[in-house]
Amino acid sequence: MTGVAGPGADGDARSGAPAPPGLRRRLHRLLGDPLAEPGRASALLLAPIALGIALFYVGPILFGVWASFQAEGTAMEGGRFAGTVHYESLARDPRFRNSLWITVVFTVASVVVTYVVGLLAALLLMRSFRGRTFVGSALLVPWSMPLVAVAVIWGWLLDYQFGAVNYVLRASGLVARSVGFLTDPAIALWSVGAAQVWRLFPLAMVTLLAALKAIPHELYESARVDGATPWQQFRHVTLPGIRSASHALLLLLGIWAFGRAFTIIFVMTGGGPAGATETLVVQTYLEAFRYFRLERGSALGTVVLVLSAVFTVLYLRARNERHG
Amino acid sequence: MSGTAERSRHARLWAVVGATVVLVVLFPFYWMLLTALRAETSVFTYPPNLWPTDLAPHLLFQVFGKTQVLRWLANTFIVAGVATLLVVPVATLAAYALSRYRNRRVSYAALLIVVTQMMPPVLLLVPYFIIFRNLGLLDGLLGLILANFAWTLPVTAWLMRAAFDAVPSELEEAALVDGCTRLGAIVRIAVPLAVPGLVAAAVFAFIASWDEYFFARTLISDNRYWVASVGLGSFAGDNSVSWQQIMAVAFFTTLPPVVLFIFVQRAFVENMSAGGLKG
Repeated sequence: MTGVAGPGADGDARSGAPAPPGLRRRLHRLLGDPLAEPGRASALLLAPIALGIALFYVGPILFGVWASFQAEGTAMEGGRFAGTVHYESLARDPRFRNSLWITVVFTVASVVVTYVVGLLAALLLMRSFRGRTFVGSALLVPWSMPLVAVAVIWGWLLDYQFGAVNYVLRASGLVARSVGFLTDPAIALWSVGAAQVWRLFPLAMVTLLAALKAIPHELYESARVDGATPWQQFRHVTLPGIRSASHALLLLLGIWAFGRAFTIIFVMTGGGPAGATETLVVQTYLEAFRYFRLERGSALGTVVLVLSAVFTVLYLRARNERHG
Repeated sequence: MSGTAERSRHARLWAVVGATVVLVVLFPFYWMLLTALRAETSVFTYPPNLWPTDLAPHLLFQVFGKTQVLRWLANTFIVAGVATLLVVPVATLAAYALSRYRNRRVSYAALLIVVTQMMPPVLLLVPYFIIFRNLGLLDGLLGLILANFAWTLPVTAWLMRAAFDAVPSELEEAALVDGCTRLGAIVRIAVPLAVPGLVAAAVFAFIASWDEYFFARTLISDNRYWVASVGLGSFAGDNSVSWQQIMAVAFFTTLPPVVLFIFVQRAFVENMSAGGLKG
């Protein structure tokens, strides 16, 4: 066991210039193969990422939770324990209740619409027609666009005075006056939701397409032989076939819409008008970095984390069911 | 005979549906291009011209002189590039372990990685802000590089694991029998074989860093260090910047990720549906 594949061996050709064999051999004699034993190998290989996660996730989260219990303006300089005052003030804050409600509406609506649009697109791509590959690729474009670009483009499309959407609506006689897509509190949430769905539906499409393709043809054929209508086939073959994929997808979309949707909303409306698009994440951001109440912001962030954790546990359960 | 005719009629019908869907879905993208390529006067004509008949392509490049977009793009390139270079080795080693070993440590690591992907980034923001401030990392690219490193590390490892899963381990075993060390087998055999998937994952990390706004907006206020997402976002609600300019900057911000995406699309899609959800 020299630890060195001979010169000209297959591995050498691929890896470019290897270290001189003499040095390699000496090192090897000194160290042995540190990765020979699986337990030690997995520990060593995982050590860097574990360190990264500890430094950049676990530590900061603990710090954030700690900060949420400190008196206002003290977390930067060592803190002064203040108990649960920030949580109590949140519980009394109508603005917090508003954000909670906005978050629920935004999450549920955007997840359902993203899923339905993604499913329709996937079903379309299951048909055979000329240009299907192109359609499949073209529909992925929104997914690769930066969130901020999506936000400003949609902001322009939905502009009150000069936006293309308002023009089309007026020209076709659907509305008499321009719609305040981003200025009307009753509508703004649906506008940012539309941009969010546009950006995210390809993920649902790709996932569901993979699930649809995995459904055996024979199931459809035997359903047809039994005289099932297209709707019955969809209901009794397609839907059960994509159920487990849908389960995981819906939870993932939900977790992301709940805890990660920020950029599109923030750039399009900044949480306005009048808090109509102020989700918990947006409120947390404003609390910490507009009003500079870092401790109260941390308390809000902790609430978001705890609620996300509940969804995450559900997601992991669903995932384990699929594999178990 | 009539069955074939009916099928080809159906195929044509679906082709029309497909084309219509593409037109509707890509309209925002088309509208961005059209606005970016038009004189300000024709942006505001009523009724708006929906066709590309009045384009002035040179306007697209005027934005380089009128805004800081070149500097923002250079900053973004540095941040996303360096963050990706840092992520790739760490994620590759972890992904190999996740793919090849089955023990308690690996299960915990896998769980931890999935959980970080579910996590809302908002709780990290205040700690990062305070820690980076105390370390003097605010208002510089290094802090943002670290944040993007942290942010893309777990998802990249997860995607790379799928790349290693697709490579059979027999070749590595054979190399071990031939006297190769494990690290040698990883570097010389597993990594070269998994390269398409690893590259796709690295590109994913780059695109994710390119796209990142949440941390960039908070950790950087000095506009010399703005990245493209922050610069573009700063135009929102700013009436002194024309729509033509905003759309031109949006175009230049969008171009690199979309082009990269086209190159790795296939691996990306397979990875995403395999690694992202199946686990």
